[in-house]
Amino acid sequence: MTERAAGNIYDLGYRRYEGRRLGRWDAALSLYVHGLRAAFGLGRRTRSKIFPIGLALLAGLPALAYLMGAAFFEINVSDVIKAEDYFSTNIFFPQVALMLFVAAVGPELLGRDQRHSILSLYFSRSLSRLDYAASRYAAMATAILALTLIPQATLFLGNALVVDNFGGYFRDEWKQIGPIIGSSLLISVFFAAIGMVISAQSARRTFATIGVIAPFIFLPVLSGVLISSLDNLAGRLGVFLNPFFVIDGFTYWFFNATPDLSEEHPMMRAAFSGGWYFLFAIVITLVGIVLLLRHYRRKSL
Amino acid sequence: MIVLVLNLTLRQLLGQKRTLLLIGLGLVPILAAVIFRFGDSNISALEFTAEFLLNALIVNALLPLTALLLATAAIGSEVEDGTIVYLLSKPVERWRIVAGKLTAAWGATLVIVLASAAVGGVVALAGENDWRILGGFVIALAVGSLAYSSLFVLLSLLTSRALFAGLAYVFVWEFVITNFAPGVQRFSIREFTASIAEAIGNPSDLVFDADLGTTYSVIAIVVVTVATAGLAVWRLSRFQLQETV
Repeated sequence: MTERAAGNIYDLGYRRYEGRRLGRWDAALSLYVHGLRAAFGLGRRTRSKIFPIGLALLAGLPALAYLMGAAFFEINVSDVIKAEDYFSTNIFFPQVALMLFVAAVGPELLGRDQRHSILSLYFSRSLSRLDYAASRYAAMATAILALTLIPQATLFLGNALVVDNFGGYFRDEWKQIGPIIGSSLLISVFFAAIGMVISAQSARRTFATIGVIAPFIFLPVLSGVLISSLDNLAGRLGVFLNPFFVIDGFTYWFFNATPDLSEEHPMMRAAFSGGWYFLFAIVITLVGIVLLLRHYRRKSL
Repeated sequence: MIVLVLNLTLRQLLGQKRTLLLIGLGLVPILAAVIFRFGDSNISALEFTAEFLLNALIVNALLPLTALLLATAAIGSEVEDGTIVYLLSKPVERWRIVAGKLTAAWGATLVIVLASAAVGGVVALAGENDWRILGGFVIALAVGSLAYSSLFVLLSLLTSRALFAGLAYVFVWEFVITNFAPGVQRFSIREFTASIAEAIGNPSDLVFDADLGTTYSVIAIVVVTVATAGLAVWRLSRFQLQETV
C-alpha cells in the first residue's frame, strides 16, 4: 500500500469490484422482472397502480361475477359462460380492458427509458440492444397473461369447485386446459407484439398510447365496412383487419368450437377456417418482434 | 396574450411525427368512405354516412381520441416537463393561459375532425340530394369537440395521469358502463353530440336515431363545457410554483 501510494498524490482507497459478475443473462432477467413489476405499477406509488390493476380486474369481472352467482344460486356456470367466448365480441368488455392495458403498459415500459435517456446506460452494460428489446417484450407478453389466463383459470377452477364432484369435473373437462392455455398465450404474444412496436415509436406517453389504441378502434370499423361493401376476396380478407376477430378466430379453432354467430356476422361471411386466423396471428407476432428488435438495433441514442 | 399562448401551444402540438399520427387518424374515415363508394353495400349512402361514418367512426372514435391527445399534450406535457413554470411565472392572468391552451387544443381537434368528416361525407354522399345530415354533424362536432377539449384540459390540470383518466372516461364510462346501464347516456358528451347532430341534420329515424332529447343535450353540453372550463381556470389559478422543477 505504501509503495503504491508513493506514486500517487492522493490514495482515495478506490477498490475494484471483486464479487461475482452476473453477466448478460442476469441483466436481461432483471430487466424482465422489473418490466413485469412496472407493468402493474408495483414499486411505484398508488396512482400508477390504479389503471393497470383496475383493467386487470375489469378483464376478470365476468369470471368473478359468474362465480359469485354460481356460489349463491343454483346455476350451471359452464352453460352461461364458456371459456372460448371469454374474449369474444359477445362479452365485449374484457376486450376493451385488454386493449387499454396494452396501450397503457407498452409506453410505460418503453417510453420511460427513452424519455429519461436511460437507454445509453443500459446499453453500456453487458446487456445488448436485442436483449433489452426482448426482455421488455417478454415482460409485456407476460403481463397480458394476467388479463387473459388468470380470468380463464379462475373460471375453470371455480367451475370445478362449484360442482359437487371435483374430480369428476376435471375428468370431463380436462381437455379444455390445453386450449385455454394456448389461446391465452397467443392472445398475449399477439397483442404484445402490436403494442410494443407502436409504443417504441414515440417517447411521449400520450402519443404512444393513442397510437396503440387507434388501430384497435379504427381497424374493426374499417374491417366492417370492407366486408359489408365488397363481396370478393378483398372484402373477405378484411376480417383479418380486426384484431378482435383474429383472436376470436384462433380461439374457436383452439377449442375446436363453432361460434354461435348469425349468418350476417362478418366472420361467417368471410368464412375462413380457424387455422388461417392462427397462422395470421403467428405471422403478425413474428413480424412485430422482428420490427421491434430492428428498431432497437438501429436506434441512435 | 391569449393569441401568444395559442400560437405557442399550436407549435408544440404540431411537431412532425405527431402531425403524421393525427393526419393518419383523420384519413381512416375517408378511407372507409372510399371503400364504401367503390363497393356495393346493401345499406344506403345516407345510412352509411350517418350511422357508420359520422357517428361510429368520427363521433365515437376520432373525436374523443383526437381531443384527448391534443388537450393532454397541450397542458399535460408542459406540466410533466416542468416548462409550464416559464409560462406561469410571466405576468399573465391564469385564465388567459387556460383560454389560449383550450383554444389551441380545440382548434387543432376541430381541423382534424371537420376535415375528416367533410371529405369523408362528400365522398360517401356524392350524388345524393339530402346533405343536411353532414351539416348537422359538422355543427355538432364543433360543439362536441369544445366540450371534450375542455374536459380533458381540466383533467390534465387535476392529475398527472390525465391520459388514463380520459381513456377511462371515453372507453369505460361512455362505452362499457353505458352498455350495461343505459341511463349513463345522460352523462356522456358523445350522446349529447349525437343528439345535436340529429336535431340539426334531422334524418328520419330509420337512418339515424340519437337516444337523448335535444333540449336536454344542448343544455347539458353547455353546462359541461362552461363548468369544466371554469374549473380549469380555478385550478390553474391555484397552481403553486414549486422550487424544484
